[in-house]
This record gives sequence, structure tokens and C-alpha cells, in this order.
Amino acid sequence: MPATEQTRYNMKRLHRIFAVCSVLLVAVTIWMLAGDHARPWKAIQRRSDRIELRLAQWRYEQAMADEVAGEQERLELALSETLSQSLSENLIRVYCEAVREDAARRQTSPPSFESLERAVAALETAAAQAVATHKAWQAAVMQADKARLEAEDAWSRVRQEAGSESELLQQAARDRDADCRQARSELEAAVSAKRAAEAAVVPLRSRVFAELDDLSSPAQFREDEILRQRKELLAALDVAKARLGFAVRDGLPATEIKQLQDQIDALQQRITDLSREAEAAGAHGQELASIRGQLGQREEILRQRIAQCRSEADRFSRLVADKQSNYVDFWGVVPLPGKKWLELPFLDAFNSPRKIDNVWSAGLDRSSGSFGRVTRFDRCTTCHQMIQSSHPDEPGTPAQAAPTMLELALLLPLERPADRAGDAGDDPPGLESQLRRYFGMQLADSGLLEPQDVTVRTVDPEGPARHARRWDQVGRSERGGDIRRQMLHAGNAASTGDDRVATGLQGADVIVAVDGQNVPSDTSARRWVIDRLLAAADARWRSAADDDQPSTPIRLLVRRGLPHPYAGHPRLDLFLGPDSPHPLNRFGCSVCHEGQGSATEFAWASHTPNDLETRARWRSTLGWFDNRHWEFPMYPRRFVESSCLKCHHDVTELDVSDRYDDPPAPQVTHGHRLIRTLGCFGCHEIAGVDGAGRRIGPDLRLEPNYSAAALEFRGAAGTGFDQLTDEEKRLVDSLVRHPEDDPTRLQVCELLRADARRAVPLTSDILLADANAGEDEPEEMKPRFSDYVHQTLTPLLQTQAFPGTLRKVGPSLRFVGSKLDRAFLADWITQPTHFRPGTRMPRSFGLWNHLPAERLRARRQELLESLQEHSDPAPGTVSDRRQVEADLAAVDAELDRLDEVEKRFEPVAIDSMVQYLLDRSQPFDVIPPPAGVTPVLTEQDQQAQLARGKVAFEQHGCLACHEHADFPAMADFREADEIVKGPDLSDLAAKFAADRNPQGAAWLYSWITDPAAYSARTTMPSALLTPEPLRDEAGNVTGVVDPVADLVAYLINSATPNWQPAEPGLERWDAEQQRALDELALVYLQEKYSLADAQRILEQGIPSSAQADWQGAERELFVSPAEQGQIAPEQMARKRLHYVAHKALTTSGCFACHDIPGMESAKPIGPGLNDWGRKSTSQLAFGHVAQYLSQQQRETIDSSDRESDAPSVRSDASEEVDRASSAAYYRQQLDRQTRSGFAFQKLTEPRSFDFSEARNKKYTERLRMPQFSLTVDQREAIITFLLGLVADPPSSTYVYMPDATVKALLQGDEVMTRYNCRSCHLVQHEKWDLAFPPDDFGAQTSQTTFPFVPQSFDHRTLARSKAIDRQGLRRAQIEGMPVIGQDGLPVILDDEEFPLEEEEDERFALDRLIYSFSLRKAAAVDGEPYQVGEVAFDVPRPYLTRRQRARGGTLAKYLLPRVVAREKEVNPNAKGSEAWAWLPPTLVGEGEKTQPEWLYTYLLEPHLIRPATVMRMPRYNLSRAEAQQLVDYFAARDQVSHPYHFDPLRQPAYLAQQDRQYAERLQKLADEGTVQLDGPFSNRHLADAMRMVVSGNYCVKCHLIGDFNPAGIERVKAPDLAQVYQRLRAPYVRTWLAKPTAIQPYTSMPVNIPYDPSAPLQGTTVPQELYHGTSIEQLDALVDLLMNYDRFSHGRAPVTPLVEQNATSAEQGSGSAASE
Amino acid sequence: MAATPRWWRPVDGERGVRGIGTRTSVFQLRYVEVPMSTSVCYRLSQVVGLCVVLICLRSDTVVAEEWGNLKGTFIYGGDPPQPARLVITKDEQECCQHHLVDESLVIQTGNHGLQNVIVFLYPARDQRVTIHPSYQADENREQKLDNAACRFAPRVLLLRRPQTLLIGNSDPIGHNAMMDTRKNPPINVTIPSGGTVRYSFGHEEREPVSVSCSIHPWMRGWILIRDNPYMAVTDEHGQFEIQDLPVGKWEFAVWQERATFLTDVVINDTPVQWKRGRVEIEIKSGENDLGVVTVPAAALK
Repeated sequence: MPATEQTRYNMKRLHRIFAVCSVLLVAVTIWMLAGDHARPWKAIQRRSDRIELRLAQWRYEQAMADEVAGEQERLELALSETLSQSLSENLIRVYCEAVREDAARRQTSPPSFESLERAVAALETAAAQAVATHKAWQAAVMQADKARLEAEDAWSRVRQEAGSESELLQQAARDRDADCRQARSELEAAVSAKRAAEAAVVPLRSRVFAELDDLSSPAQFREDEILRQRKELLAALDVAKARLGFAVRDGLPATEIKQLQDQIDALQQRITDLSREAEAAGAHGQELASIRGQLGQREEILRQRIAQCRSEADRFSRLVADKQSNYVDFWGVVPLPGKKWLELPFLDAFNSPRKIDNVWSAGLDRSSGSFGRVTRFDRCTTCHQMIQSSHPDEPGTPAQAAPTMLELALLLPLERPADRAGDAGDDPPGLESQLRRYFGMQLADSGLLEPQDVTVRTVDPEGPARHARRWDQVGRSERGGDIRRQMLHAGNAASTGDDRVATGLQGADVIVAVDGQNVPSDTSARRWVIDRLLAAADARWRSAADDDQPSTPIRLLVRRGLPHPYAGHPRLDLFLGPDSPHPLNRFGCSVCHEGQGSATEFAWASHTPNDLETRARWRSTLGWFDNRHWEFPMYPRRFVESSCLKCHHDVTELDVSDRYDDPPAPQVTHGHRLIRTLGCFGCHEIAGVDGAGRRIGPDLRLEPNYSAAALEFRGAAGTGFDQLTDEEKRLVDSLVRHPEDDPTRLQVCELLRADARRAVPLTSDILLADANAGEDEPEEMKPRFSDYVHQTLTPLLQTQAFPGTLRKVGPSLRFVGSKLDRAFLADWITQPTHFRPGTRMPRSFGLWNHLPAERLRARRQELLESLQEHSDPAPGTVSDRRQVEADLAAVDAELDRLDEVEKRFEPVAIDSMVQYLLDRSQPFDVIPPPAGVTPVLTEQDQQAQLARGKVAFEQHGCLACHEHADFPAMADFREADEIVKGPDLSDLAAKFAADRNPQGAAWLYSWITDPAAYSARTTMPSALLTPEPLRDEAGNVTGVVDPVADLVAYLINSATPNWQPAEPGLERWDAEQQRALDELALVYLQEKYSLADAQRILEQGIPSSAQADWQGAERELFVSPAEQGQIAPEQMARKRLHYVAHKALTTSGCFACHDIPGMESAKPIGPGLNDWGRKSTSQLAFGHVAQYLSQQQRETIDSSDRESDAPSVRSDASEEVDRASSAAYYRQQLDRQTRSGFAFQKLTEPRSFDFSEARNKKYTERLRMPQFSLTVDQREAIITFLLGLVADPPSSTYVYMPDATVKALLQGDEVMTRYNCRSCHLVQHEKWDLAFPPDDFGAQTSQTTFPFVPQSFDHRTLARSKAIDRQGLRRAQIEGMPVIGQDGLPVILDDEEFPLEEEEDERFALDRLIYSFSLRKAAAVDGEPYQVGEVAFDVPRPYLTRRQRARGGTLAKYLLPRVVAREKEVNPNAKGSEAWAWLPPTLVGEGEKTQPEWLYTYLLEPHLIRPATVMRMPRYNLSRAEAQQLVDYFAARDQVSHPYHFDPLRQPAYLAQQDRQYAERLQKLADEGTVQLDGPFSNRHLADAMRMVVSGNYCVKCHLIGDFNPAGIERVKAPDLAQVYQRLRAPYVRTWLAKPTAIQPYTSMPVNIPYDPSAPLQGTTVPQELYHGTSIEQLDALVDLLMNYDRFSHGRAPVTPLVEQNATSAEQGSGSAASE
Repeated sequence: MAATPRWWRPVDGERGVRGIGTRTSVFQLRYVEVPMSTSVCYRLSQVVGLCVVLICLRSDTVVAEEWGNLKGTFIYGGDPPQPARLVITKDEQECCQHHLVDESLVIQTGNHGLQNVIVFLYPARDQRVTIHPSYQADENREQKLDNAACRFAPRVLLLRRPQTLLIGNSDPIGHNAMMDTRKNPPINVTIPSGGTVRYSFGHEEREPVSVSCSIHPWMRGWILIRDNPYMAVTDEHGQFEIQDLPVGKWEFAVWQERATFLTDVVINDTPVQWKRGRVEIEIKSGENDLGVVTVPAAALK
């Protein structure tokens, strides 16, 4: 078939299709590339780059400005001065001499020095000229100033005299200006003359150096030449040696060989000579070089320092170069295309510098639903490019933090700076120049983010802008006494806050308002600001000139920082940085923040707004939407700390610590503390360990109930405890007190098990028993203990796999009958806040808010009131009245239909609970007061006792854990978020009112004496108070008082409002209540039994044959076989009551916090929370809470409408707004059904989730969560903690595992929190950060002391302390406490160094104060070492950039002025500065001070150490493990050896050596005859040391020593020296004896052995008759004695003489005893 | 130490804002540009250093001086309270026999003269004081503070640098002396019975510092350490006299241990307020009398 031209498809059409497709393809490609170019993150990256570039440029300019004005300029000036000086004639002479000597050595003629001499002479002439001009210049400076001052004076005189005569004034001003101009021109002339003279010197100096070089160059040449020759000779030597070798090999004649050998010898000789010459030439060259170096040394050093100065500018310059992208880059002079091309549209699709950042974090995978676990990768830094950028000076601070508004005061100089040419005129350059001269700052052309933002570009180092201060700090003044008290408070009142805020404006600050007027937001803004600033300055200068007063500062509102994504991370010290614990490349972002890390768009990254306003803004501007499909949305900012719990399971490391001054996660630790304090874990276990024993999160669980089980065994009726032997009883008692003691517990457990085995005999026993059927069971086979013990208590005592560790938070109710009365108990259970508004006990009853009945009842009441208002038949109100009546009828009808089970059952339940607690209360033996106490008989005695009790309450440490209305000032000392450990005791009088509760006082006495006797697991310590003598004013003993009795008297008699229980508990019930009780019992029973069974049980009880479960409340209904069918109705009623009570107590979860008899084995009633942070929201029962809130909101609006006319007092407006915004946020969260919304509502109104559902729920099915009194912040902290409970730990390498030291610190810290140790003891001194002008502190004034006392600093530390920051200041951190004055308050001076007094009414400007600081740790300041115990460190307040408050010592600080005042009542000359020594000691350095073994024992069984203190260490209910943890903590803090401590001073060999040396010294003295000594000299080292101790002048004046107790009052007594050897470490004792103030600057311990190395015997004043030796020898002897006191005293009491030589027979002994 | 509070200078706008003095060379370069404030001459000493010091020194030496004496009497305004018996709580055997009373307020029964009031010259920081040649004689004297009869004797001691302090102990019991100096390193040293210790001081103190004994807490003394000899303590009649003061206007500080700096007093029946216990007196050649100064009882509680 012939081919045709016809094609299968129509080509034309195909062409068209292809054409269209091609166009489409191109269009789509373009579209795609355009789309790629327009991706949001690219725009953000472009903007980030732009911002970074501009910041770098500004910083470069700033660095340059700083350098020009600062260090570099100074150095360059110094260099120019150096270059204009002559050279040292002496050195030049030495140089010439060296050249001459070298010539003489080489026996040549020396070179000519004429040229050099001429050059030197010329240089000297020119240098002299320069010096003269320099002097002239200095004189001109003086003259100019003098002239100016005279002119000023003349002008001011004229001004005063002339008054308003303006002509005269003008003339005077003209004269003044003319004079100034003249002075200035003279000065300028002097400057130019000086410069010219200096310039003339420089070439002459160079010439001299050139001449010197000419002299040294021949030496160098000679050396080179010699070395070259030597090299040639060495080669020749090698050749000669080779020839000799050949000659020997070839057997050449001996003469030839000898010739060759001679040749070699000659060569070697020459080489040796040349080497010597080379050495000499080298040494000569080095000498000349050294002299030359010395001549130019200063010049060289200055040049190096200038180069260093430039390096910072260079750094920024490089940064600018890096950030800058151009179309053309010059490589040398060759132009090359720049990288900016790659950023153009379309091109940027290919290898663009704009890239997505991927951060892979291996090991931190995340769950991805059904896909299992996937590796986590984050692209967050694609947009958050600047998240890691830090402040140039401080790597831990972000370069641009999130924006904050600052109000700054711009302080002006007293007078207007003189204008310069170019300043005048309204043109922008002129104004800008003026702005810079006036304020020392420059503004950028456009803002970083918005072009119209008025942004500061650079700030001059010495200008007013750099020194702008916070507005609220300027001019603030307060009363002297207030300032001093504030200083003492725990708060941070003295802090000046952020130092960068304190030190003025910075580059990139945006000016928002000037003097209260907002900057316009358009292009005129910049000009507006300049005009406004200049006008404001002019106005101030004018008014200042008129009033002759300093001008007021200009008020600037400034925005600092940038919003995300351009802001840096706020905690770079913790996150992202390579040196931080969480480097970015390892951790990424989403492991902490959650969210969709792979997303590159804002909306898809699952950002979560922190509040509703942000949410609305994001939604409208960023297209944000609530992506519910992503399982892990980002944490909003308020909960971001939650994620810390993923890896930080112990939580405590997230609190403030030695490593982190700012707590890493304060909110989550606060939540942790709250949960632990409120006891949430009692009902809701937070298991931190999974089934396999792996840690999955924080572990908050109750400890095993060992102690309660033992108590129940001991105290409950019919357990068989009475049948135990005394030894066995003691075992059980021991278990009660120390449940942590496993051997004891296991013994008790075994005891019970053995008994159980007797109850269930072995098979053979059973057979045997069967054979003997009918016979009585032998007595020894009967079990001693009841079934209850075996079935309930024994399992409780068994070892658990992963036991919890937390104690119950409430007091024990096991003996409550001995403590409280029925009425109080009923009232307390009904509504705890009725008695104590601030209690932590939650409310479980009467929570009916969510029930319609309650609302209807309230509505009914309102309507009734309204009806009464309308009772007056005024015209126009009739219709209203009818409406009200109709509403009332409707409400009544609705009320009738409601079932009010709560109303009916709750009072019955409460009363039955009270009855149960009283019935089951075990007998408690109160501790009787000691005998011999003077009785309180008269009214006067009672008053005195109350006064003593009040002092005792304050002084014996009660305030550390309790509050009392009589001591409101203590609240100032507590930290802001501190949870006060114990309850407020103000109203104890009402609790123990004698008419209701006659046993209250006796109980309180017992409780204070030994709290653990009543509540075995309490953390309340025993105060260990003993009777003490009562003294009259003259100091005579008039009786004996018991401080505990005084305390009790004070507490139960302190003034109190007439409080009465709201509803006295019922003992006798009426029929209606009885019926309600029975109904309630039936409701409870129906949970387990059918209705018929339940009714039968109610009447007859549960027969013993059906005793299946001993652990439930049904146990209360058991009837014995004897009782069965015959039980009296009253007995049965009592059983029903106990049953209801037991059920009510268990369903309310009371046992979770309290030890209640019979409920030892009860299990937590709430769901576990260990993975609550990941719990599916579908599992959270939201019910109809949204409707409830809507209704509530409506009602609130209604009521507020009604109340709007009434005047209302608003508390704090901003607080109100915060609360409202928080409420709205959580409301919205609740609507979205999130976990945080649920938790917030649960913590606010726990029963509200039952709204409208309660009617369909049985009474027993309703919600039981009680209501806690919590603030919004507290709820938020708890929620933050709960959200972090995800039970999803990453791989073990990421889980925080502290090393041994850190672990010891954390555990010890935890124990301290548990027992509130820090409330009394200071554990960390204050740290003050200082910034001050160089050399302002200088060297410390110190006294001579033993050489080992001062702490030495290496030169690097000292050099570091001399470093100057970019603001020209030196920085230092000092550690210590404020100096305490005579009145017990800190010493603060005014600017004239007058101390502020307490009584003065004068107000002092805060920024002019000087704080007197006592160093407690040596510090390097201003390049000098500063030692402890020297002159007080005076810190001017403006130098203090940050005051980090002390940790602990709250009570001690509170008591300081009080104990001083009290002491002064007795002794008007008492010294307040010593008061620290009367209070609980600081525990800083406790590890270095004490021996671990002693400390361990002391913590468990404390004894009195320092009689001078006003209070003594109480005995805590510590376990041995806890005591060990504390010991480890102190050892770890001071990095000292533990748990074992080796002391070389206690070794016999050492002592023997010391004794030998002392004997030799004595022998020598005796031989010399200088002193008369009695022999023998051995064994006298310690004995003579003891003579120093017992000499009447020294130690025994104050110290107790064994049985010796110095006479006098306790205040001047000091610790027992006989205990030193086991209590203290030797190095500490040595330093303490040498210089006590080096350890405790406030101590009254004097220096007993002075040290002066220049004096004979090193200046000791201790008589040689006591101990022969120098100061150091005497001191060491004392240390040896104190550290070996046991050996010394044992040596004084030999046993050998006491040992009988012949054994005495027993009969003889007894016979003799009998005869006696 | 930070005795020189230079810190307000650069920031408060009162004395000029440039950091004159902190950066000498910068100032030198900028001098022609920066206008000087009226008070800047005080700072010039820091700027050009030696020149000004030399000039100041020369100006001191060339001024011919005239001299005047200052005297006055302090009396107690009110009925003198009975001195309280001190509670002796240590070494009773030795100390009780001295019948010690509280000496923080010692008033003569006759004219109610107030003893132990210190009046001392209080020149401004940069004000120089010319010392009369008659004082040169006791420039190196030793001032003795004794522990005698369980009290410090004298209770108030005046010491002029470079005089040395000799602390002695005439009692048969051991004592210690603890001095809360502020400008000098604090001292606390044991002085055995019959023993002595000697101290010299590197700096003057701005106010009297307390001396106490840790062993016997009722013991209290005061010592004032100054660079000039112009100070006096009132005697048992309440009288004091400072001799040979350079004429001119001078500021004096008046101090008593109970009231510290005396602020509210009555001079010749006229109530006068001395701010922070300081009074400006123009010393004329010859005798100058402060008058009879009555210190209200309320100020000495």
C-alpha cells in the first residue's frame, strides 16, 4: 500500500494541543517556581537575614564607637606619647658596652658609635621639646578651665546683680563666650604645638633604632658565617672519617692512617672552636636583641593591646561580610557573581542559600499512632533562625529576646553642650548631630521590623543615653528604717533587676513614647522623635538655668526585643547552645515544645496560642487553625515547662540550685510542691515506675502503711497484741517509729506469719487433729492473733516491689478522741475553712453549686427579698409584684420535683464519721509535765507565763513552719510562692476551748513535747524543750519554768474571735436522721448486694460464716455466731452507723491524708495520674460542664447587672484583668475539651461535671473529688505538672541521670524541703553581681594573719576580674550577707557614709545608698583578692546589678532585730552585730566543718552544742537514710571526703613525732639555759597544749570542756571543746583558731594567738610558760590537742591501777557487799 | 575599698555627664569639645593628676593661719535617771566588787553635765585641715585603753592617726577587745591578764566605733580614730574644749553613744536642729564658745 501523507491523527490539531500543553507546562512550571519562591519560610529567612545584617552593622559601628571613644583611643594616645619619648640612655649605654665587649673578645676594634650618639642626641633634644609642649599643654588645660570658671563666675555674678537688665546680661554672656573662645583657641594652639612636637620625635626614634640595628647586624652576620663554616667543616669531617675507614679496610700503611687521623683531629678541633664562637656570637646577638626589646617593649605592648581592641570590631566586620549578599563580589580586584543571584525568583529553586533546616534527634523518637515510633526531626529553625543568637557579651542571654516595654529616664547634663558647626539648622544632618551631642545616640534610618519604627542605632559609651536608668528607680526615696528592713527580707526588694535595663538604651531599642506622648506610626516618626527630644532638652535646660536646679529627666518608653520568629530563646544557658545541657543538634525543638516539627508553615506546625487574644490575632493574621488531627499540639507558653518531666523524673533538679541561679522550671516545681503538700497523690497515685521496674516519670505515691499497720495491731481491740512478750512488744513499738527499718519489720512480719501457720496447721497436723476429734484444741496450737490481723494487717507488712516514699500529708486520726471534741470535728469535716480559712484540707461536703436545687433555692431567696421590697403597694409596682409572685410559684414547683439526696445524706454521713472516729480512737497516753516546775498561781503569774509563751513561740522556731496573727511581720520574710509548712495557729484557742474540749491543753502539751508519739509519721519535730531557771531583773533565779507549758498557755489563751462550731455534732439522733442513716446504709449495701440481701443485712448483720472480705466497710456489719439472730437493735444501729461512716470515710478518701484506724489497707480512690498528660480526652468525663458554665455566666452577668448601680471597690485592676483573661482562656479550653480545661475546672469546681447528671446518678455514683482552696496560679502550676505526666520517657541516654555528687545534692535538698530545714538555716548566702568603674574598689585593707588563712587566687582569676566589658565597667560576683548593725538590722549608709537609722523619718534616695556587705567567701574583685573577715565591703547601690537572694534562714533573718532588742532589755550594752551567732547557724560550709559520722548521729539525736543560741536544734522524725542523705549533701556541696573521714592528725605516729619534736625543742631551750625547764620532756606536747586551754585567760573563759562548765550566763558560753575531736575536721579547727572571722565574720570568738612574722616568736602573746613555741607551733599544738582530746583525757585516767591483782571470789564479793 | 563614691557622677546629671576622670586621655582629647560644668574643677585632680595636687599642696603651705579655740558645755535636759546597775553574769567574784553601772549615759548630779559627748571636726572629703604645730608633739603618742575593774577605761577614747593604740588589761582576769571598725580591719583579740596588745590604724573612721568584750558582754567602750587632732570628749561637767583650730567656717559632728549623732538640741534656750549631728561653726581667732547645749532626755533613751 502506497504511503500517503495522511497521518493517523490530525497533525494540525496535535500541534495545537502540543502548543497549548507547552504553554500550560511553562505556566505550571512558572507557577510552581513562583509558588516555591513565595513559601512563607523564605520570606521569614530573608527578613531574618536582613535583621541580622543590620544588627551586625550597628554593632560594628557601636564597637567602633566604643573603641574610638574608649580603650583604643586611650591606648593610641599612650602609644603616641610613648613614641614621642626619648629612649633609655642607660639601656643604650649597656647596648654599646655589649658591642664593645664583643669586639674586645674577638680582639677587633669596636665599631664607631658616633652616628648612634648623634641620633640619640637629636632624639633627646626633640623629646625634651615634646615634654615641654606637653607641660605647656597641661598648663593650657588648667588655664582654660580657670578662665572658663572665672568667666562663669563673672557671668553668674552679673546675672545676680543685674537682675532683669537684659542688656547687661547679654553683654556679660558675650564676654563669657568671648573668654571661653579665647581660652579654647589657646588650648587648641597648645594641642597643635604638642602634636607637632610629638610628630617630630617619631622619625628620630626610628633613626636610633636603625642605628642600633646597624650595630647588631654584623653580629648576626658573623654568627651566620660561623655556622656556615662549621657546617662545611662537619661535612669535611665526615669525608675524613670515611677516608680513614677505607684506609683501615684497605690496609694502608700506618703513617697514612695516622696522617688521616691527625687530619680528623684537626678538623674536630676547629669545629669545637667554631661551635664556641657560634655560641658566643649567638649569646651576644640575644643580648642585643633583648636590650633592643626592652627599649621598644612598651611600644610593642601597646601595639598588641590596640590589636586586641580592634579584634571585636573585626569580628563584627566579618559577621557583616558573612551576612551581606551582593550581586557582585570582588575576589581581589576580579569581579565575580555574588550569591544574591541565587536568591532571585526561579533561581532560588536551585541550590539557594535559603534552605529548610532539618534537625534530627536520634533517640528522641515519638509515637505516630499506628505507625509505631518514628524518628523525630524538626524544621523549626527554618523560620526561627535567630533562636540561638546570643548577646555579644553574654553567651547565655539572647541577642533579641521577646519584646518588653521599658520606661527609662534620660538624665541630662546640667548644661547644654556647646553647639558645633553643623549642629545648627533644621536640616536632618544638623539635628542628628545635635541629638548625638545632647544624648549620645544615633537613630537608624528605618526600623528592624517596621520601617517607621524609631530605632536606636548606636549609643555612645559615655553619653546620657548609655546611662539612662529605669524610670521607677530614679528619684525613689524611702525611710531609712524601711530600707533596712527590706534589705533583711527574703524578697528581692533591693535588686535593680536586669542589668542591661539598668544601664541604659541599647542599639535596636525602639522608642515608643517620649514624655508620655506616643510616637506617631508613620514616616514622620523619626523626625518627630528628634524634634521632641531636642525640644524637651532645651526646655529643661532653660528651666534649670532659671531655677538653678538639676533638670528633670526625660521619660522614654522603649520597646526592646523582637517578636517570634526573630527572637532568641529566653534561656540559652539551658537550651540550644552547644555548651548548654540541651544542645539543639541533639535535642531539637519538638521534644520539649511538641507540635509538628516537620511543618514549615505556621499554621501546620500546630502552634498553640497562650491566650485568647493571641489566638484571635493568629487566626486573622497568620491563618492559624486548630489542627485537632495532630496528636501533639505545641504546649502553650503557660505550660511549656510540662515537658521537662519527660526526662527529669525527680523534678527537684528543676528548682534553683548551685548550678542555676534562676530556676530552670519554676512553675513545674511549684506544681510538684503543691501536689506533695496538698496530698493529691493519696487519692491519685502517680506511679513513676512501670511493671518492669523502669522509671517512666515522677513518682509520687504513698509509702507502705507499715507504721499504721503496727499501730492498728497494737491499739485495735481484740487483735491479740496483749499476748506478746515484752520483747515482741518492743519490736512492734520500734516498727511504729521506724517503719523504714526493714529488719524490724521483717521480724514482726515473721512473728505474725508464724502465728498464722498455727491457725492453719499442716496436713499431718490436720490428720492428727482429726484423729483427736472431739478433744479440745491444745492451748499452744491456738493462734494468738485474730483473723483480722492475719488477713488484713500481715499482708500490709510484707515487702513491696517498688514502694512509694511519701508520707500522708494530714495528721493521724488514730488517737483523735484525745485531741478533739465532737462539735469541732463535725464542723471541721463539714467545712474546714469555717475554722481556718487558709487550711489545705479540702472541702468534701456541701458542694451543691452544680445542683439545680441550690440555684433554685438561691433564686427563691432573691425572689422573696424582692417580694418584700415590693410589699409597699406603690403605684407602678403591682405588675412587678405579680411577676415576682409568678416566678416564685414556678421555682417552688421545680424545687418540689427535685431529689435532694445530698441534703439528706451528707449531715448523717458527717455525724456518723465523727462518731466512728471517736469510737475507734485508740487510747493515747499524754505526756505529763515534768516535776519541779514553779506553779502558776496568781493572775500576775499567768500574764508572765503568756508573755513567756509568746516569746517562746517566736524564738523556739515555731514560726518557721507555722503562722500566727501575733507575728504578721514574718510574712514579709517568706518567699512569694512559699507554701507554709504547718497550719496557722492563731485560733488554736477556739479549737481547744476548755468548755468544749477539756483535754485539749494536755494533748497540746504532749504534741509539742513529742509529736511522733501522737502521729508517728509527722514531720513536726520534737522541740526538745526542757525546764529552765526563771530569773528576775537582777539575774537572780526565782523559780523554774517549763517552756512547753508556756507555749501551750500562750496558744490556747491568745486572743481570738468568739468562734463556735457551726453545727454541733449530734450524739443522739432523731427518727428522721435515723431513717436517713438506714437509707444511706441501704444505698451503700446495694452496691454489693441485692435489695433483699441488703435489707436483711441491715437488720441482722453479716454472719461470720460469710466473712469473706476483711478489708471492706462491710466488716463493720459482721456479727459473731453468738450474736447472730440475737443482736440488740441498738447494737445493730451502732454497727450500721459505723458501716455508713466507714463507707463515707473511704469514699471521701479521708484515709489518703490521714491515718484512720481500720483503714490501713484502703486503696486510693482516684484514678492514677502517671500518664494523665497523654490521656485521651475522650476518657475525660466532661459531662455537661459547658452548659453549667454558660448558665453560671448568665447568672453572673445578671447579678452584676443588678449590682452595677452599687458602688464597688475594685482590688487591683491589672490583677482583675489577668484573672478574667485566665478564666476566659480556661473556659475556651473547656469548650474545646482539652486536658488543661478539664483539670482547671476540676480544681475549681470539682463537682460541676455532674451538672444535670446528678439526678440520673445514684448517690454513690456521684463525683467525690473535694474542693481545694487554690489560687489561679496554683491551679496553673498543678496543671503544668499534670500535663507533663506522659509516661513516655525517651531512651535512657536522654533521661536525666545525675552523677553521684549531684544526686547527693538533689536528694539532700529534697530532705531539707521535707523537713523545712531552710526555714531556720541559711544554706546559700546572697550573691551580688556588681558592675563598677575600673579601680574603684582597689586593694582590700586587711590585717596580718597566719599564712594559711587567706584564700589564694591564681593570676588568671585575678586577670579575669580586671576585664572590662563593652560598657567600660568591671564585673564581679560577691557572696555573703549584709553587715548587721547594733540593732540587728543591716547597715546601710547614705552617700555621705552616714548609717541610716531606724527611727529617722528622713527619706533617702535609693540610688544614692551604700550597702555594707560582709563577704562569706573570698572573691577576686577589681583585680585584687578580697578575703573574708576583713573590712566590710561597701557596695554603692548603682553598682549592684543583681541581688540573688539567700536560700534559707527565713526565721533567722526575721529574728535578728528581735533577739537583739530582747537581749538589750537584759544587757543595755549587748551587741547586735553578733546576733547571727545566737540564731540557727548557717549551713554553708557544714561539710568542710563537721565530720560525717558525727553529723549523722547528731541529725538523728541532736544535742545542745552552743549554749548561747536562743533556740536549739529540735529532733526530727528522720529516717536513717534521710540523715545519711543530708550528710552526703553537705559533703557533696563542699566536695569533702565522706562517708569516711581520715584525719592524719589523729594518728599515733603523727602524735609521737610531734611529741618528739617538742621534746627536742624543750631540750634545746634547757641546754641554752634561756629558760628553766623541768624534765622529763617527753609526753608533754599535748599536756602543755592543755595548759593553754585551761589557762584562766583563754579557752576556759567561755568554753565548756567535758565536765567543766564555766560560770556565767549561757549567752557567753561556747561549745564543748571535749567534743571537737569527733565533731569538727582538723583544717577547719586550725583556720577557726587562727582567724575566726575568716569563717564567721560576725563571731565574738577572739584571736587568741596573734601572728606577726616580723616579731619574735611570730608575735605570740600566749605565755611561753604554757607552751614553748612560735605562734604557729602553739596553734598547731592546740589543734593537735583538740583533735585528740579523747586520747589525752584517756591518758589522764589510767585503768591499770584500778585493775585488781587477784580475782575476788563471788562469794567474798557478795559477802562483803552484804556485810556492808 | 569603695570609699570614694564616684558612682553618681556620670549618671545623675548634676556634675556633668561625661566620665571625666575615668578615662583621662579621652578627656584630654575631648577637652576642647566638652563644656565643663561648674563643679568640674574638683574632678580635675583626677584628670591631670599631679599638677593639681601640687598646686593644692602649694596653696596649703603658703596660707598663713590664724587659730582659735572652741569650747562648750553639754547638759542633760531633764531629771537625771538613776544609772542602772549592770547585771554581772561572768566572773562575779572579781567584777561584782566594782559595783558597775550602765555608763552609756553619765550625768553630773550638780549641773546635769553630760559626759562622754564627742565633738569632732568633720571636714568635707576634699577639704584640707591645717594642723597647729603644737599638736606635732603628741603625734606619735600611744593612746591607752585599759581593761580595768571589768570596764573599759576610758569609756571614750580619742585617737589621732598615726598614734598607736595600746590595749591593756589591769584586771586579774582575762579579757578580749573586739572593735567594730569600718575602715580598718576589724579587731578581736584576747588580752591576758597583765598583757597588752598594740595596734596602729591605716584609715580614719567616720564615727566612733564600739569596743566590747565577748567574755563580759556588759563591757562597752568607744574609740574615735581621726586623721586630725581636732576632737574632744566632754568631761564630767559636760565641758569640752578643742584648741588651736584653724580659723574659718568648719563643720563639726556631735555624737553621744545612746543617741549616736545628736540632732535635736537646745542652745541657750533656743531649739536647734543639727542635721545628722553636724553643726557649722565659724572659728574666729581666739576663744569661741558653742554655748550651753541642752540635750533633751528623749534623745538619750
